Amino acid sequence: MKTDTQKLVDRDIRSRQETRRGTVLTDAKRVEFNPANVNETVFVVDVDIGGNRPVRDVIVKSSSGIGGRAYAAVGKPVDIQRNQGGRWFCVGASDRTRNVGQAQEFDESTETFGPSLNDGFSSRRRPYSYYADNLAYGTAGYGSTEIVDGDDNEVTL
Amino acid sequence: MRDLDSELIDIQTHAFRLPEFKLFVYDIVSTRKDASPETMGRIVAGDPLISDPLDLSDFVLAISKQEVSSDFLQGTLAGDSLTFQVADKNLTYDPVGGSESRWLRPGNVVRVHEGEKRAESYVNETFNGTDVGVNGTYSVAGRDIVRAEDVVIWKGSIGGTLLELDTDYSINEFDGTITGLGSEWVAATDYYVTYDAHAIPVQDWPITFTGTISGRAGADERDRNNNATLQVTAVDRMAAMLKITTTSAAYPQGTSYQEMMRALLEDDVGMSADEFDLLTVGQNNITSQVTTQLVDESPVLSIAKIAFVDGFVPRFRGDGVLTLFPTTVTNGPNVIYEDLDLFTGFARPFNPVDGPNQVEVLGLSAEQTRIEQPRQVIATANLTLGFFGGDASILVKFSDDGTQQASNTDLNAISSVTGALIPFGAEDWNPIFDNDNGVRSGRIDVAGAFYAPLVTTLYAARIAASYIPDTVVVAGIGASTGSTISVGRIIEGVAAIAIALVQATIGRGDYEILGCPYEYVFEEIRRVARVADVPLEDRRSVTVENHLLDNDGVDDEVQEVANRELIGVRKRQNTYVTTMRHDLRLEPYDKFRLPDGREFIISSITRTMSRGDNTVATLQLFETTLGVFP
Repeated sequence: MKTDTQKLVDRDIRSRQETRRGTVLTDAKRVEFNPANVNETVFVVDVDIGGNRPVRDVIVKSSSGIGGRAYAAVGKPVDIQRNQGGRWFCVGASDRTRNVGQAQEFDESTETFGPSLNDGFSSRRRPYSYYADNLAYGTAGYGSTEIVDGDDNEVTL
Repeated sequence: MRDLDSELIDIQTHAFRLPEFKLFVYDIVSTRKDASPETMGRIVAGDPLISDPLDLSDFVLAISKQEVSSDFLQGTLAGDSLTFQVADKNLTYDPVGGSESRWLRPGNVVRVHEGEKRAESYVNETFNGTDVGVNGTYSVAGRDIVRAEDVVIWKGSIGGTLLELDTDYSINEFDGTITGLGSEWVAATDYYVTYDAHAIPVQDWPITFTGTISGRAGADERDRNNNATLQVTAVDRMAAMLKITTTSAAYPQGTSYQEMMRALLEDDVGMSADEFDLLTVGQNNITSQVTTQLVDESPVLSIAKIAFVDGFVPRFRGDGVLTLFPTTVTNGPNVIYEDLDLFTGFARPFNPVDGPNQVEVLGLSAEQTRIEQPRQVIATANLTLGFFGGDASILVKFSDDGTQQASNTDLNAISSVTGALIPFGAEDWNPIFDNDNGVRSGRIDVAGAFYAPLVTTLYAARIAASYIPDTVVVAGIGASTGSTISVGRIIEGVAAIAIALVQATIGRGDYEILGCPYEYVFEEIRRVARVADVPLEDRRSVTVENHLLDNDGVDDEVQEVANRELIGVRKRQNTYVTTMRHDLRLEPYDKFRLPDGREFIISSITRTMSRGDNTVATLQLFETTLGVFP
């Protein structure tokens, strides 16, 4: 028997069956969420949706026929959707790519807007050439995911 | 802002007004099966062939009317509605069982004209029988006659023959015409007519509502004398438009937004050009490289999306014409009041809702962006070469359907034919460029070696060698054994080894093609406008996504729209309510300025009109005065 609060939370989740555009960050990897039965495998990827961290383990549905999960290859734009249970899954390739945005701040006393600022973040895999390019190590390991701002500078959140 | 006769403006702002209304009902439902049915569109377009409406004005007890603006950013599109009560003894007009049941059926059109009751008397106006002609029509100079029963016509002289209404002549009050003088007509005779006419002719009263009856009229029998009232509700055309869906044509790059809206209304909805007025909104062209189509949605929603780019929203005017109203709150005022005579007070209602302080607008770049994936193996191939074959060329596609493109393609030979016992020629990778200069496949060309003639030659050599005789031992130690010494067989054997060597030379090539697969997608343009210095915790964001917004035609158009909408969404939180003697000029979205410099925009107007009542309207407003924010 669910409590009223739980019902409200459920309703909120159901009402948030929304879609996000993202960019695939990792190769599709096979995971077994059920350790008791390793045959129950699913393929997942990490997806950058522009937040302060990527969405991990987004289930990739396989298209039938030749190609399968190829649409969710690294670097490709995908649409991901939140299902009723609150879990995200890839619903297909996207015809567009999300972008780090720009923001302007509005001063209500003077009714004027300030200059454009970067707004939001982007995730990417740290290239192996990072040290050679930057002459510093940064915080993320090579090949792991790092978060960058609109100017492509690594940010620590 | 509603256009009014200048005299009416003068009366309602400077004099004690006597508001009056006319309510007409058009029976279009009965004509649905006709060859040329009467429609709302034809009424709005002013088609002269439309049948005369029923004038219910004298029976209407009260009209409650609500005019509402849309807040498209927050996802609403709204229209006007009204409810009216009809005093109907014996329920004559009751759509359920009344003797005149056809008028108040759902689907029929209701029109309300509003104006001024004030009338002026015209005494002994003269017209001549010759001028009017037999059965001719005399027009009282464009004025409408208040009551036909009060008209007095003398023939010949004042106090001469008194003509009788409906016997000697008839009157059209609305048009102000006296017709059918028939048997009482005499050429060259003067007639003297005395009548009352509205100071502002009904013809000049603005039409403040055009809509269709919705639902079923309610009947309420009041007493044993069969006095009863009917209650009827009507909604404007917005309600109907929101309930239908259309799919527009696919418009190519270069189509103007106005052209799109016009085509939607004319081709998909079936409106005539007289039924809408798109002003000069949407002069820019579609810049997107792909076709733009508005699919399976209400036509007014499609219009709203297009008009949103320029800061307008669709709304049906009182006369039923669809037009676009500006939503930019920083525009100048439509009406400037020099005093507060019309207003009875301003109240600021309590508003517990946390309004947005951030607007996110998602546009879409008109041009496509190339998305390249990391370098990877995009195809594999293998081949076998032998003495029997010549050059080889293998076609390699980067995807099964041959559509995947890739750049910087390269051949990586895992096992090369050059490593064979007798080396074959080298492998070459030659990408194939398609018509669009993209690379979706390529060829691995291997320069083979055709060894078949050599094998034939070696066989010939072996046959020749078979003729070389061996030596027989005829004397000495071994003679008694009768053995021979192989000479020719050895040479023949050597030739056989050479053949085997060539035949055993198999070139095995195993290759993978490396490259960076890519494709083209549209880049989202995300622009945010937010109130400065609001911490993350207090941010309340509203997002609007519109693919017609891009930065390709106008410099950072998406940011401009975000900024415009932020100011709008903030100002909308400065809610006020006022009651006023209604100014017929005012419509939702209109901005007015008070003598103290404060400016307000109207969100909605609610009022109840009843006979002889000095109509008071309740207006929901938001203040847009510079520097005023919640």
